[in-house]
Amino acid sequence: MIALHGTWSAPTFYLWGEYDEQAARSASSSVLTATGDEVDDNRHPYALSVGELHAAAGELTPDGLLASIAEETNLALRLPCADADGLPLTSSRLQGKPEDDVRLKALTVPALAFSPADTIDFLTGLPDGSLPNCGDAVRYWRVLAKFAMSLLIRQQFVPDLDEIDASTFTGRWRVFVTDREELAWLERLVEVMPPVCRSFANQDGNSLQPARQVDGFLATTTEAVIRRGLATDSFFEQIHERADREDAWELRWLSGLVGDRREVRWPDEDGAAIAGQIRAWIGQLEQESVEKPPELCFTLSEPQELDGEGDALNATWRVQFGLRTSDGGDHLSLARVWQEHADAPSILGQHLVNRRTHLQSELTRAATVFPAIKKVTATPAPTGVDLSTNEAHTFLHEWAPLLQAQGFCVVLPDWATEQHRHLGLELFVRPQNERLPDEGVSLGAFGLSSMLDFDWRVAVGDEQISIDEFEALATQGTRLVKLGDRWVDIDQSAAKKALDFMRDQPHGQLTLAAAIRLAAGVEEMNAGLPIVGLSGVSWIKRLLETSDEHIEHLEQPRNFKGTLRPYQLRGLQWLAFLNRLGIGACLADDMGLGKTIQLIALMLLEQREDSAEGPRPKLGPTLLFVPMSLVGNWQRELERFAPQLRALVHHGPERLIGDEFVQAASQHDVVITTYGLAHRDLKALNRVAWYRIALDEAQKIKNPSANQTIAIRSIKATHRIALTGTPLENHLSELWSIMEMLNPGLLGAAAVFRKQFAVPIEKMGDQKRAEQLRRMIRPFLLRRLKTDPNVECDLPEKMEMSVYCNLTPEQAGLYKQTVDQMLFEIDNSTGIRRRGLILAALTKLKQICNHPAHFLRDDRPLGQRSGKCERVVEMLEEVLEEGDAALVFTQYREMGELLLRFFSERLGIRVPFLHGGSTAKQREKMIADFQDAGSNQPIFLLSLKAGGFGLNLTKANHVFHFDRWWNPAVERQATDRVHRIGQTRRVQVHKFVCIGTIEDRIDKLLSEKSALADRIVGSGDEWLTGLSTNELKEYLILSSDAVAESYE
Amino acid sequence: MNDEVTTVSSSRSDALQDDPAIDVERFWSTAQSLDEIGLPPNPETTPALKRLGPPPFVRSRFPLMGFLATVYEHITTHVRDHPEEDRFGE
Repeated sequence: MIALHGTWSAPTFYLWGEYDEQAARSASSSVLTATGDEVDDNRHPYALSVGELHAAAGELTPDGLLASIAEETNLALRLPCADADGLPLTSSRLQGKPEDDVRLKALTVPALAFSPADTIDFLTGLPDGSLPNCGDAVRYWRVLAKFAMSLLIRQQFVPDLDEIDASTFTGRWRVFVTDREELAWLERLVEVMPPVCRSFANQDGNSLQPARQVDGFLATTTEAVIRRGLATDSFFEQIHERADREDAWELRWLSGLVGDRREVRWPDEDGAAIAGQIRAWIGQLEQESVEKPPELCFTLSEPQELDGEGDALNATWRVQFGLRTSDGGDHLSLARVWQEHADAPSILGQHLVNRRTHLQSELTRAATVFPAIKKVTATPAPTGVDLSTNEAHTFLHEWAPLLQAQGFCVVLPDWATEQHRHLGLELFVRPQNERLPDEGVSLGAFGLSSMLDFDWRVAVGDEQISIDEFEALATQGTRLVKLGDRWVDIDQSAAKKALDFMRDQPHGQLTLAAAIRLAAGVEEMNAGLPIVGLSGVSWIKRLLETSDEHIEHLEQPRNFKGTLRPYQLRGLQWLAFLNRLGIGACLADDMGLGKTIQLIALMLLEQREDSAEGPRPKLGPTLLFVPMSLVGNWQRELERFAPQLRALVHHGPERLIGDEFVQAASQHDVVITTYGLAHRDLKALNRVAWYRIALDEAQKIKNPSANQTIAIRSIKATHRIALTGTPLENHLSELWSIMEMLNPGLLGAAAVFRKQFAVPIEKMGDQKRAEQLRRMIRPFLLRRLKTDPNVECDLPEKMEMSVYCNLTPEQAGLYKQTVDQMLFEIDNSTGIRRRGLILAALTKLKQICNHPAHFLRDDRPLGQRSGKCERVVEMLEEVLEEGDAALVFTQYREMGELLLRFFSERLGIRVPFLHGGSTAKQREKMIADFQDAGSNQPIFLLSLKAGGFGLNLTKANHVFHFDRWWNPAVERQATDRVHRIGQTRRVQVHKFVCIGTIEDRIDKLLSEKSALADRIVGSGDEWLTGLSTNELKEYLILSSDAVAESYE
Repeated sequence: MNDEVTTVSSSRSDALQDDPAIDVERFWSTAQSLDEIGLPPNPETTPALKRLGPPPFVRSRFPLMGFLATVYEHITTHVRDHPEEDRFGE
């Protein structure tokens, strides 16, 4: 058996071989000097002779001539030999030999020496697959030779220049590997090089490095192949003649790249500059692939086992060092990295990161913030450091955050998150009366002033431990203690303080309001440990739970004329629950989710029939405060969903006063009034025994010092509810004012609240205070968004709703006058003239319903003259607040111009207006600007005709039909500019209707979908011209509920 | 035959011996099977000359890039198609 091996020493590849020991006994091999005498004992006793090499190599290649091109020589190598007898150990003998019995010894072998280009020919000429009689080294060099050729085929080489002196250079062809994967493959190849490949050493031991061997092999062989290739074509050889003849620096350079000529001379002073330009040009490729160094990681491992008390003190933690690739992927073996060479290797110009040097320098850098590792960084090849329990505590609190800030990767155990590591005190409360009262029963034992029994628990995360267990932990003497399967922080002095605190006041009584404030951490208790929460049983537990699973399930009221969506039913259940507890509730759902009908359903729920258990308890009425613009809307909604609720509207100059009012109020279920009347009619309002005070658009009392706010707070009632669509967490003074109305004293005095919460949160971004406030108000505030998963699934993709508005007195006066005049005129006309009069009058009425200025074309200020305008602005304010976008449609260009002024005055924003007079360019720009997600244009005003088709306006999720075309198809087309493919959100469509007017009647007609309604479709206003005067009257006459008092 | 013995200086004779990376037991073998290393990725790469772009040289009177393009084509063909003929042809 023989084995052929390959060794490289630039610029030559050497093929040599050996017999295994058995075969060697019968082989005759000799190494001759020039004189023919045998050499000394350094000859390899089992080496193949050159003749045997030729024969063996020739059998390997299909073309036996390949081996014949090599020169014959002798080679001295360092090869493993048995220490005992000095005989070389071939691969079969070497396996299993103890390392101590082996040493490297210089031996001489006959060899075939190949020039660089011939090396490639020979190695690439070897057949694929396993090579008989060849060691791994030959296969190794074959892989590299083929790789070299692939680089040339893919043209991964460039002409370059090396400097000899200021005016003398040599031309050089240079291959480049810049692809990351390819470079990684090459790195792996370097790592696995068999030592025999570099068993030849030059004067400086550096050439032994695998990276340099590979680099030299690829660089030398590829250049030789290129030069040989160019020399085969006389076209390229002409370069030399031209270079000698012409004074062109490029020719001189190229001449140094072709054939055997390498020297490049530039005698004039530009030589260095030209060389610099060439180097800079080529240097671009060196920048293409910059390897990022691996990341140093620190992984904390806890002690494996603790047998008993006190072991925490003696326990050993470990911080393991690790390296992972810069993309956070593969982990590198630290042991192997420590074995890498000290100086930076490079392959084909790509300087590989020396991982060992990098590891050393990173550990030094880490030691500046993690001083504990200094005990190991001086040792060779450290892989980690042991820490005591207290040092582990310091690691978690100080060193780990600093390491992370310095860009190191830190891996901690799962239990080591902030929340689950700290001990705290939890207030556990128990109500003195666990059974909830029925409606109407005295609430003396309930509400925020209800007395609770309390005691203290120690909590860590979601777990509680007893005081005895806590005491055992507190006496272990370490800053980290084991609790179950995790470790927790413990400050010994704070723990002692907490123990004393709990022993001094183990239990007692306090009100619910005080418990909530205490648990939110608002009051300073000096308890040693922080107070982290409140827990309880019975209705307390249900109140404090964040989910509504524990609240009693209720069906919607039997006489509710409609169907509550599931989330609305949950809202009703929550309102009913808090109502029974006598606790004020704030329903803060997003606009359009139906806050109104949830309150209506609650009022209806309370109106249950007399039952076998006894008569229904007599409840007082609900006093409902609403903005002027919503009076009509509430009337309509009550009529629609709860017609049996007796509603009294208390507003306007003809409202009831004094005894009359008190008596009427007591005979109704709900009294609707406006905010402005709270202060004005306070005396009368206070004479009624209200069951409940409810506020719609409760942000109207955001000013806690305003007369109306103070008045409302002073009105006595058993229960209180507030409805608002505003995100209260963004408006803390509003939040205080509403909460003070709902649950007086919960958030403390205004000045204290401002100091404790408003200023730290709004001015300083104090997240801890923000979280405390959230914990305090959570039981009393329910807010759902359209995008909440358990709401979204209940919503249709398009929600259409009518917005009922009142007329102002000015509008009502104009309306009546116009109707009277019209009826008189049409009574006295016929045919075409009659038809014309009716159509003209309808237009006038629509204009009046929009705004008096639309009808009168006057120049007076716009403000507060139109119920619709007031309402649309209120709703757009909510749209802006929620970060939504809206389209506003009107069929009148003149009204559009008025709305532009109105929006500018009231909302302070410029709104684009697309109408029939807009040019195509203007139109495109307006649409593009609106749809641009980065633009600050949340509102787009359009005339119904101009904006009705051919547009994609999916940025909007609200559509406002300010006035109606009364043709559902036209309106639908407009709406569909928003609700179409590409829209990802629920769309809300708001249709404005003035109560008691022609708009109201037509709206009813359309919603009834009657045969008459079908006739209307597609015909616009024309159908009205066919009605008799009496029939017309029914549609036109203003009803008494149309008018509102003047707007505040 | 080359009668010289290509040798190593005695002052560096222990270099290999002391190299901690030399695994004597694996002296003759690759540290990992070449089959496991696999073939090189052979990515689709743009020729290096194209990646360099136009040379920034002033005063260039010779069509350098054109010439180099010819060189590249020739080398690619030479390496891929007729390595043996070129080697042994005179």
